[in-house]
Amino acid sequence: MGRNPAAQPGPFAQAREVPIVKRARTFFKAGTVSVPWILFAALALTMVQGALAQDLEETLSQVGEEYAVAYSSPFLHAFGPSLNSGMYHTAAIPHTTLTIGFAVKGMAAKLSDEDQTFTRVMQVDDLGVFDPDFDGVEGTVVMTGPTVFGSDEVEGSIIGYVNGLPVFEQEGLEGLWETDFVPMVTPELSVGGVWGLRAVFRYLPEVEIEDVGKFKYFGWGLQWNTGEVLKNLPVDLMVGYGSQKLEVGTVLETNASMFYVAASRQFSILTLYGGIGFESSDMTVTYTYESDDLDQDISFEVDGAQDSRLTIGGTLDLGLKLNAEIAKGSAITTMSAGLILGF
Amino acid sequence: MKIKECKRSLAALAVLALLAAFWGCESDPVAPHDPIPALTEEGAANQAAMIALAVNEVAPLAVDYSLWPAAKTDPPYQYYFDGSDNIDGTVALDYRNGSPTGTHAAVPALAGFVTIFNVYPEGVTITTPLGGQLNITATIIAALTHGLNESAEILTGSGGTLEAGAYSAVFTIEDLVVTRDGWPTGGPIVFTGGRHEVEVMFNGTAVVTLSLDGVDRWTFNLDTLTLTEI
Repeated sequence: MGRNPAAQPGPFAQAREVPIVKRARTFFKAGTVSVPWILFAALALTMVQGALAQDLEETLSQVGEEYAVAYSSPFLHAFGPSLNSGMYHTAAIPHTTLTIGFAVKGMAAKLSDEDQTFTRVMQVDDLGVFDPDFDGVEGTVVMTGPTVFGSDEVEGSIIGYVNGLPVFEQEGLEGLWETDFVPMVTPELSVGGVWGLRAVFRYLPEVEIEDVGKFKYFGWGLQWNTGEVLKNLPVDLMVGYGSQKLEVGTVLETNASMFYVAASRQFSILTLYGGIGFESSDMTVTYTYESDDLDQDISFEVDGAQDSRLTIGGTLDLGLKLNAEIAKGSAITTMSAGLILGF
Repeated sequence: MKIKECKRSLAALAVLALLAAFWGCESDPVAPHDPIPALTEEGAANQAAMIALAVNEVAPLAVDYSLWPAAKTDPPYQYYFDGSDNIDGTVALDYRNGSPTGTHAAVPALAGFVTIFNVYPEGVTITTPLGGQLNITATIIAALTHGLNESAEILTGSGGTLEAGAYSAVFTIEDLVVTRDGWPTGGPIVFTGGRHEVEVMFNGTAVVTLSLDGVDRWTFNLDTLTLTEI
């Protein structure tokens, strides 16, 4: 088949690991990059995410739940699929050699262009909920404007209509960050090589974010290479499951999980891989709506828009491994890239 | 060594090609994009009534020559509505001799034609009876009659647009006659919004008639701003 033996699990894996260690050490000595630098970068980018959550809370405090859900929907729906990205970069897992890998993974959900704006229409029995001057009046409310990832120079609006005529207009929100990507960065540790199993951990130390609370992030995953059971396949095959939880104080909590099947094949220094995943995610947002009359505690949970994905990617082994992948999901396209050190 | 470098380059190219192939993969939109509810018949009538209200406020300026300074200033003249009478904004009046595009009239009271148009792109703002606001832009071309029956007859080619939040509509005006003090007569103003076409006819009183598909359906009182189903 012309397959590189080093890609196979089991005894061949040992032969492959040794040169990687040598090359990795050389890489470190060259001073091109260092683990603390990578950790710092991951932490800094994660703090950006925390700051976004902080800004989001401050921004949402100006509007009620319906507006908040629509305004933040790209963030709510796309963050989970983004978390579920970059779960693997090869299906080859040694069966008898302990391996440790450290990686920094960057993921991003590619949003549709349409997600920079929203329009939410509600037929309401009582416009007084929005404007006390219209207590008991039936009408239509149209909320429209930029989403959280829309223009920060355009202000949204909430307009009430009665029989085709606008009767009140309230200011909505401007976008917070004009982008069509929802990014995420995480460090990842993997330990495996026994019976074709590999455990994956994603973790960031707790960080206190002013006015919001603690930023917490933890994820785990388990992968199993089928080499001992399904022999003589032209590719490496594995199954895996991952679960992650991210909390930003009391403002935001996200859970994401995915079950997946992946295959890979090595061609010299390039490993091509692909897989199919079945996933779920949810996000809970809690904030205080500071209305003119009375502050109101609001909490809502939104399920991620995605339930499955098809992933293809490649990993280049240049001593340090570099991988990039793209996943076409049932709703969201995500991209991921990683920098991986293997021992 | 060269073979190794070549392989690396090819591998990198393969990854790039893979990503490029999928780069165009669009995500589904996840933000809500609810359709704006279709304008109802009554909604269309309400909007048409607001246009009638605006025309009744703006068009009589054409024959109120007392508004303009005795000494000629550079045309066109401008008039500012300060928000009273439910209208706010600035319009310009361009008086001409002989035809709507003739020479500028030295004195408005002797002009043969006038064109009234909005000074700013947003037009004039109308405050609706329930307190909301909508914007109307228009160009009104009128032939002036002087003497005892001082009046202006609005000519074909007049019309404009209405923006009421998420709704927009267009209208035309013709054969409408306005005087300085009385209520307009004639018409119609033809309003087209959504699937509906509403015609507004004036009869020299405060009450105008609105018809839908050729059938009189409502009246609108320009004085009390009430729409009543017939």
